Amino acid sequence: MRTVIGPTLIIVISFIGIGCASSGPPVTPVQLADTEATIRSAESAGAFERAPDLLQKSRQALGAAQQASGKGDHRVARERLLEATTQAEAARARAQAEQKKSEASTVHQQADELEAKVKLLQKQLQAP
Amino acid sequence: MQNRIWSTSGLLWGVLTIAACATPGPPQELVDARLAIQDAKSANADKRATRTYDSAAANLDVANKSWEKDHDASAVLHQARMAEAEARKAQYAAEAEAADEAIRRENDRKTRHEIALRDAELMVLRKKGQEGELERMKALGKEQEKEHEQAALDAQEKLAAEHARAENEAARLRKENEKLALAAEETRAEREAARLREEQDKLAALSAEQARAEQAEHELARLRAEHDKSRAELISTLSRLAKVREEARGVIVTLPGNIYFNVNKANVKPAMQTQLTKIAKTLAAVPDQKLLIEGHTDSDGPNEYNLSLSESRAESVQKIFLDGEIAAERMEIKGYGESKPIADNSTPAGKAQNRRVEIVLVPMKQ
Repeated sequence: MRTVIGPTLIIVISFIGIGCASSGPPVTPVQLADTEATIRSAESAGAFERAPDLLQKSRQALGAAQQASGKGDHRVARERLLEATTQAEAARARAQAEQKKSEASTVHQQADELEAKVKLLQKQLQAP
Repeated sequence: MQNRIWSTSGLLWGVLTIAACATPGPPQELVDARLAIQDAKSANADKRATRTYDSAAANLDVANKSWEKDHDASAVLHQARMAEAEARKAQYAAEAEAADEAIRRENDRKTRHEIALRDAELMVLRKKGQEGELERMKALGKEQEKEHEQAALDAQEKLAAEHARAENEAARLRKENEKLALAAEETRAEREAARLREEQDKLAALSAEQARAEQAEHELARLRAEHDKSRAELISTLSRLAKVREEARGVIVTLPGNIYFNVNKANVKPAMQTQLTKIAKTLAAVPDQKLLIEGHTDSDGPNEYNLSLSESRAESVQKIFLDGEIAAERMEIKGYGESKPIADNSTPAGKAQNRRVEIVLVPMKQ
């Protein structure tokens, strides 16, 4: 009988824990600060110009997270904070990608110009 | 009016009924997530940003399944948003990586083209340099050619000028030579003329001298002839009056002692005085002859006596000559005694010859 009571107790306690954790812990100020830092990092990377939609979504998600956290809806707050962070990372990635694309385009253009010059000179050289 | 309201309300009701009965569409978030995952795949995010892409794909899978299960939009929103965000993150990471690769590639290309450009520029510069050098060489060649031509012209001109100068010089020299030759000729002619004149003068002088000499010679010959003649005449005249002989010292007239003088007597015999006076006359006719009157004796008797006698006899002759107008300064007397015999004193004939008075005719020096 004792062998049946023990596991049952553990399962009950576990269910109670899970039930309590369903709302989960609240987002910490550190987590919020980390997310904000990520957003600023994206902004610094040029997301204002290169990824404004993603940046906007990120800020909206952050606001929603803060709002949910204020309401005590910690699960939603955590979810929205995670979304905000991921979107900020996406915005930063896009800004960086755009910058690199621009850089690649510039270098490509420079290489093209050089190539054109080389071809012109070679043509001149081939001319008698 | 009322009918229209009813018909509109009826239409709206119908639409709402159809909408309520139809299956609800997926939420926009899920649609966006699906689109995003497609974009990410297109960007090769599944290979370049595998972990993020997989996470996005997993979230989308959960959202899709959840949506398919009960079409509960609120249940899929977080998963859909996460799927979209991660998909975009993966997409942009992949695009950034691709851009990085492009940048590297383009940079490589740029570097290659830069090198090629530098090479081409170098070749162009070299070519230009060569062309420039060629042009410079051509220009230099032309310049040198010009210079050579100019130099040749200059040399030709110089040569011509030199030639002309040489010709002028030659002409001048010829003229000079001609002048000189003329002058020399003139000088020579003058000299020759002078020489000739001199020669002529000399010849004239010589001939004059010769003439004079000849004349003198003639005169001498004449005088000699005259002298010889007068001498011959004198000798001839004297020979008729006394004994005459010629010796180196002159014509000697001998008056024999025994004819003209008595023994041991100094005076001339009176009979012989006329004869002696004739001789004196003859001798007076030749005033250019000095008369040495010398008395000699034989060896008989003392020497002193003989000397005295001989001198006295010479004086006696001189006296007669003085009477015969013979100048006293022409005459000299001397007594030799027996010192100069002309014959042997041992015989009477010899003694008779030694006793004598000799008159030596010596031409007087002019």
